[in-house]
Amino acid sequence: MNQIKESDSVNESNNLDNLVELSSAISSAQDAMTDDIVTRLAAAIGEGMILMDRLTRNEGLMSLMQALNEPAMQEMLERLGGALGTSADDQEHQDARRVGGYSGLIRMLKDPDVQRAIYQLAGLVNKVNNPSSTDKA
Amino acid sequence: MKILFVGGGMGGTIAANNVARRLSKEIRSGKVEITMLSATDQHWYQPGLLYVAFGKMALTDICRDQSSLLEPGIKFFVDPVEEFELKQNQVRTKAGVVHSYDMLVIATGCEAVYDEVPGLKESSETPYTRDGAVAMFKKLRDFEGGKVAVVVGVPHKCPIAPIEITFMLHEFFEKRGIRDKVQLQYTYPIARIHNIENIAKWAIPEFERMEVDYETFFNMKEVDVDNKIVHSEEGTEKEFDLLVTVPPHRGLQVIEDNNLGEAGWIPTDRYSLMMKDQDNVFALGDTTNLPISKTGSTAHFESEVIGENIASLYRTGTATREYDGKVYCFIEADRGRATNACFNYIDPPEIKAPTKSMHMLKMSYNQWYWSSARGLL
Repeated sequence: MNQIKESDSVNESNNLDNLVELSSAISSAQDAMTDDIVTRLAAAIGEGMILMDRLTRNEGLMSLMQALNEPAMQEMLERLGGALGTSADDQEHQDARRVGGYSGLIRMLKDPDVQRAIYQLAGLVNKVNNPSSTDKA
Repeated sequence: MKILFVGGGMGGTIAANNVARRLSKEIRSGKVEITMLSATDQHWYQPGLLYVAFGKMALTDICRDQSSLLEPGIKFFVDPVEEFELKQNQVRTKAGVVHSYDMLVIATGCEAVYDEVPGLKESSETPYTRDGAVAMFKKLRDFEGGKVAVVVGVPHKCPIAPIEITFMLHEFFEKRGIRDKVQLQYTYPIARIHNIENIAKWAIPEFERMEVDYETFFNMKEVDVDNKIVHSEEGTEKEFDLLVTVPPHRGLQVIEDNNLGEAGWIPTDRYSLMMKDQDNVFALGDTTNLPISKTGSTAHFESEVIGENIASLYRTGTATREYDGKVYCFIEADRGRATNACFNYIDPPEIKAPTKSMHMLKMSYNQWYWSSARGLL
């Protein structure tokens, strides 16, 4: 009796039609598949699984991902992305005579923002080489 | 702790990677050392040879560099072992190098042997070797009709192969449009057409549908090469124009030479997979004398048990798992369909009707094998 009720419920809600439609779509997809297609898809999935396995078990990469996930780091990455864009624009529009040479380099090094960036970079390199160091670069 | 794997086939590779995954921290800190010794720097997906024999895969599709499949930290040497000195916990290689160990895993596999059946090698085609699979495809491609006999030696690797080969021969000739010119004859050495009863029950109506003649109790004795006749120990014979064989197999000679096991099969405990009378030597895959299927899936499932137990023995001094005899075999049928057989020491297989989906899964697994070898799947 319960089975009849369930069956009626399936019919009323068009679920049966939907199931038949889905089954027909799967069957049609199966017919369209060749051994070659299956092989290529499976090879791509297989290599993807291997790559994912290697990446997720790489502790160095995972800790880098964790660091990159920090809000401060994301903000810095956004700034980096923006800087890369504006830097490219600046270089395109810069007067060729102002670029290069010792005087151009010295002029750039006098910029407080550039100096701050160099300090931060030096601090990062120091940390990588000497993780326990607390020295300020 | 030094863990030594002898043999870099399916079983040895999966087991070594399994242990390396479990003990990766210990390997990095130098507390555990894993070494693998193999006879070759190549790794072959042996079930793929059946597809090579029917022109569905190329040899290059089923081979990778062994070192590319191993977990970082596993030391790999192409230098086969010649002497096992179990009392001293060491082995000696062909190059004369001595490797000591705390735990040893022997996974040297088995190989086809033809010398027991005179005339078999020169008169038959087989998908069991690389050269054989390529040669078999060329013969099948050029075959124009006649009597095709499938003959089976025992013991042999991949228990399903005789049935699968017959299905695939039927399909191959049907697609070439010459099936009506081919008389397909299947033979099997025991009283039914397969040693697993449920597979035999399932295959009989399929064979009848495909009009495959079958004869049981047919143990190859010799092949009359000139007259193209196979004689059986039972006194019957089969004429053929094309002879396809599943050759008899033996364990490796090095196992017998070192008195580790008769005919190259190592006496092994069916649950712990420990070599009999040893407490730090495992045997794995085709190498064991266990009365179960010699197939890749057996080696795969055994590898998981051995991997877990070696890690557990290292950490707690106790093994935690036992092998339940699990085997899983795909069975390629005709018309782009396949089914499967899954069984263990207790439960026999229940064979379902072949489907296209199962064939697709098998084709997919042929690609996913490399994930299995790495210990992922």
